[in-house]
Amino acid sequence: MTKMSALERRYRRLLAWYPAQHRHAHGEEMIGVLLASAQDGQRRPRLPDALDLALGGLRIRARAALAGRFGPGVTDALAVYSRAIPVMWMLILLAWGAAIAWGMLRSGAPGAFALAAPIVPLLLCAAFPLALAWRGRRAAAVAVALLPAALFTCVAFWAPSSGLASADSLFAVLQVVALAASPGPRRGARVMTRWTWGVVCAAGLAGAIPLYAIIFGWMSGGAGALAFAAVALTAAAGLLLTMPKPVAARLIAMLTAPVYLSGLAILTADQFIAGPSGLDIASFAIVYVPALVLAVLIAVLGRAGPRRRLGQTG
Amino acid sequence: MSKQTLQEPTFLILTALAAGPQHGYGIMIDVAQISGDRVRLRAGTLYAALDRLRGDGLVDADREEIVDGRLRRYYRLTPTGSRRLAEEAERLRANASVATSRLRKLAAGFAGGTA
Repeated sequence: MTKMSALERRYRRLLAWYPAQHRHAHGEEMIGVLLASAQDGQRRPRLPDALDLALGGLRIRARAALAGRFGPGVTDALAVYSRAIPVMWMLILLAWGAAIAWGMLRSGAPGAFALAAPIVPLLLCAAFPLALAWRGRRAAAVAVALLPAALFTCVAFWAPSSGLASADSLFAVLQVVALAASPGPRRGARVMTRWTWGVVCAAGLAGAIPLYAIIFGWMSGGAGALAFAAVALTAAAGLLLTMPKPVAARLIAMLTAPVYLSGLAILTADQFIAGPSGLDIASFAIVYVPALVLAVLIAVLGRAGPRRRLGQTG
Repeated sequence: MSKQTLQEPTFLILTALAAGPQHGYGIMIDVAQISGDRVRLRAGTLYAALDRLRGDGLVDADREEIVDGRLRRYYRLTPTGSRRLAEEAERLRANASVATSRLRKLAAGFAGGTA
């Protein structure tokens, strides 16, 4: 049956799109299915079938690479991120707006309104992708979240002493990554418990207080940093207690980046209100070098995680 | 907790398996038949979907047979999978029933309404 084996040979070559582990487990049965659905006398795979095999193989490779390399907790942690962090980001922005409004009422200075102006577009940047992703339009959510992420990152690079811009850029970038690489906010909502929500909201509000206290001069930089660190540690403990440990551990690693960096950026911005602007490059290094270190740490932590799939060639 | 809705090919695969364990080619034929030949699964899409469904615990491998010298693997719906399918079917049924009753009223309005 040379005709059959010519077709079979071509199908086998197409199976190269699939990871080795999948080929060992399912290769033979897939050949059986492909040959069964082929027409009599067919010698070459049809183009749509070939493309479909390639895409299917790539999809399985991507899924296996993500789960195998970073551990099964990462997609869930990203899903929680895509659900909880836009909410936390919005809470922080609203707290910021409330603090400014209160400051305006007390001092009667209308100029403070300029500080509040970015709040509404930022709220939309957090809320709009979340709403789209919640309704299942994940591709649209990623597209919508991509623009502010790119904009904020540019702003953060060019004006690193505007501390909040650094924090917002990180929130925005991680939101895009979380939406693209995870099953989405509905999955995140399933992983989170009511207690997790309590931890996230409390941490968002409690963490905002020392940040704004420093900006408004109610608290010194050092005391504010200590308060901030205390909130962060409590929140980390809370997350570990209310969610499965692999998910919580990876979420904490991911959250450490924006929380740490926004705190650091606020503190450096506080320094530069009085200092010379030539130190902008130094603050840039201070803020972004730790970010790189943290990203490497997350990758290393992920590699050390348990390999659940046997025979995974990575 | 509200879940993400199932895409149509995934829904149809689960529906095919709801009749009992089936092998890959059987699922393809069944899905084509259920959808009135509207949805035609190809092998790549089918196996990517099965991989995800197994990962989510909705589907499991049932048994293997050798037919004509080839390996044939059967898949079955898990209890979680059947619950998920039931929820999704109910959601679709509820939506369809609202649509149908409103369309009926609309048609009645056209028939007996003011000219």
